[in-house]
Amino acid sequence: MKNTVHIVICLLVSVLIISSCDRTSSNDDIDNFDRAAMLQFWATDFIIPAFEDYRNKTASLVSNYENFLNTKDEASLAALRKAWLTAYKAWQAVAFYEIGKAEELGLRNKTNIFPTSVIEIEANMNSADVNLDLPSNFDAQGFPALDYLLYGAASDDQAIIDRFSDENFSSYANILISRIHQLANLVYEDWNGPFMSTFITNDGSSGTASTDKLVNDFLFYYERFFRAGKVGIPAGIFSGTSSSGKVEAPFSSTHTKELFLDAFQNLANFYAGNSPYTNNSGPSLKSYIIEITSQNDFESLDQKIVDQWAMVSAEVAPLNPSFKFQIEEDNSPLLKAYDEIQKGVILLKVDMMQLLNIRVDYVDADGD
Amino acid sequence: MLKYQILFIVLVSIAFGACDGTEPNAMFDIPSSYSFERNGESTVNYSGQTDRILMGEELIQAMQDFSLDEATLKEMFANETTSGEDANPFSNESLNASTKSIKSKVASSSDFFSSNTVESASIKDDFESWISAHISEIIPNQNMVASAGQAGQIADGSTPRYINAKGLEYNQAINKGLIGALMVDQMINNYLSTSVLDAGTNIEDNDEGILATDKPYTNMEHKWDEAYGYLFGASEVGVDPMSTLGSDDNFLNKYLARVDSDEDFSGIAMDIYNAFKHGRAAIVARDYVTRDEQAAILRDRISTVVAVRAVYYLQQGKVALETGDLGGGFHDLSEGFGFIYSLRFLRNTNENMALFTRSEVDSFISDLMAGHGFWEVTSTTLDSISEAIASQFSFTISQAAS
Repeated sequence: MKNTVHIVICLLVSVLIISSCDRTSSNDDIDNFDRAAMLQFWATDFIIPAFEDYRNKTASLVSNYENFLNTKDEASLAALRKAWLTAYKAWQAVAFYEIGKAEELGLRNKTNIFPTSVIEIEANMNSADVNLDLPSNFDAQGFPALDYLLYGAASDDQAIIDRFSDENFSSYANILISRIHQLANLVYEDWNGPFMSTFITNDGSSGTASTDKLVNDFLFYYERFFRAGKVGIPAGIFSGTSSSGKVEAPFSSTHTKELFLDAFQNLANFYAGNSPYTNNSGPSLKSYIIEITSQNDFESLDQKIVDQWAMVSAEVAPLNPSFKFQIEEDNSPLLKAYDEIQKGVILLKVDMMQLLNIRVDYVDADGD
Repeated sequence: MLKYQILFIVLVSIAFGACDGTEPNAMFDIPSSYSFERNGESTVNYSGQTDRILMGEELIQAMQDFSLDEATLKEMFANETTSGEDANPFSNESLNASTKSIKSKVASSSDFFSSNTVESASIKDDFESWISAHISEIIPNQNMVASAGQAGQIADGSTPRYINAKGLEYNQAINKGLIGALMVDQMINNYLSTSVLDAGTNIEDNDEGILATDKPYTNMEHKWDEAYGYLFGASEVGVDPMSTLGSDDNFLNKYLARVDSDEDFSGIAMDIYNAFKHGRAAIVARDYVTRDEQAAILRDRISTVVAVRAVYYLQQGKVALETGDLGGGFHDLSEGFGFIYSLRFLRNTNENMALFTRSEVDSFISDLMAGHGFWEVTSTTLDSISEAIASQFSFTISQAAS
């Protein structure tokens, strides 16, 4: 065995030596793209306004909850639910900026881990001492836990309102809502303060440079949360059995597609450099790719990505607003949507990363 | 130097077109599946190995259930009470009824431990001490956030992992440690050894077709099958186990599939399966030279699987730690810890010696766990352990790492 492998290695080495490596070495050169300008644009036209918007909408969630507790009627419950959805939609725009303070806090783990655990939520509200920083409580907090409290905690709206008369129940809801806002605020303040210049000036091309890290965050989010979390896991891609309870926000149910499309639009906006906050266009992954591909006369990777995402849109458009209902009725359209999203992973993770000479900084867990 | 002489000889052999050493002996047929019969009845039996694999599965599962106490976990390990009485710790009643246990076969091979009972006892103690530490360190701190020197939870992605003060998950140490101490040791240092295959009158009995008392097989056939059972004993279809390879247990079967799925090692699983069939057919044909050649192949390949996996987890852990993913990195290193522990049971086919001594393995582990353990282990340390492991084999760190 040893000897055989030695020979194979010898042969391989010989082959490598003989056939000189004639791959285009463009990726090893430092390209001329102005990463600092892109980072500046990302910070000022995407990340900071997105976190500001998210912070404001979580503040509104807090005030709507206070208002609801004062009246405890159907109108104020409806207003609270609307504030929850509005904040949840704003979350979809910041979910992939897991860098700086957000990374340090583990913002995504504390904001949107689903499926949520009803058993843990019910146990926590009756426990005197709950530590929401524990990883085992990630699935008992954030927007998914509120989805349960606001929509799933009892059989109808009046019964849900009645549950808020229970001090343990209402104070747990209060803890969760305040926490979402406090975390949002911490991240926003950090961006608005010292972190922005740290982020922009770290404009190199090493594994710890801002561009490399944020592009990895974008990719990681696309693969694990957008592809697997929102579609793949509930559709049963990995387990072989679909599970409609694992969709995002299954208790309100009818918002799944809307949340998915928001996330998708935010990914596409960021990629293309079209800010919905400032209406500015600026340097982006798209312009970066186009610049390099035009220099090297490659077929446009950008066009492939844009075309692929159009395929995703086409598959998602006819889906039921509730992915939960869609899975229960007919799971196959969700599988088709997944396949199109997955083709996008290849374009981004292999082709784009190679072209931009950014190393993928996370490993695929082996699942045990 | 010897290495290069061998290399030269092999190169010369290849040059002369003699590289077909795996050509089956024309004297007998090798069946397409692991199916051997006498008078229409199967002669293959490895139920004891199946039992022990299933006991191992229950033990590692039970370590995720924090309501179970130390006595119950130790009973699963020993299948008896600490005072030596019969115990029924398993959910599977046939395991409770079984007279087999994990503990009695841990570090108990004929070749490595029959006259090395001090080390055997200390290895058994290691497993029991990990169970005790799981109870005394992990469970009381299950609702703490872990930090250097503090046991508790750490997030691996969004999954909570329960680690000791140095970052180690004891259930991983036990799970991956058993692969070496139970499965590999029993297989390559016991059942595939001439000391066991040829014990007593096994050769005469096998030559003359004298069967074990009330059994359809000869003793020698059965010993070989017991080696097979430590790899394929939990397979749904034991005569044809390759189609479900990797999903039949959480021990050697699973990790053979993982290594085989790495293109640098693809084919290793089929090599192993073929060697098992070939060697078993050789026993039926009374060709003990061929039998031992196949045993040597099995020793080499099985040892390679464990070593590749040890390096793999060290390198995966290194990458994760370098990107700040502590939870993911610690989980990799916990698995790596168990595979490093398993190195002790690997075997150098040429010299029939252990590939790693006790003190070498202890030194890897003490380097890995020094100070605050995973919280402060450096990439340099992880690379140097990886290098020390890989240098005993013909694979490189980068081949094993992904």
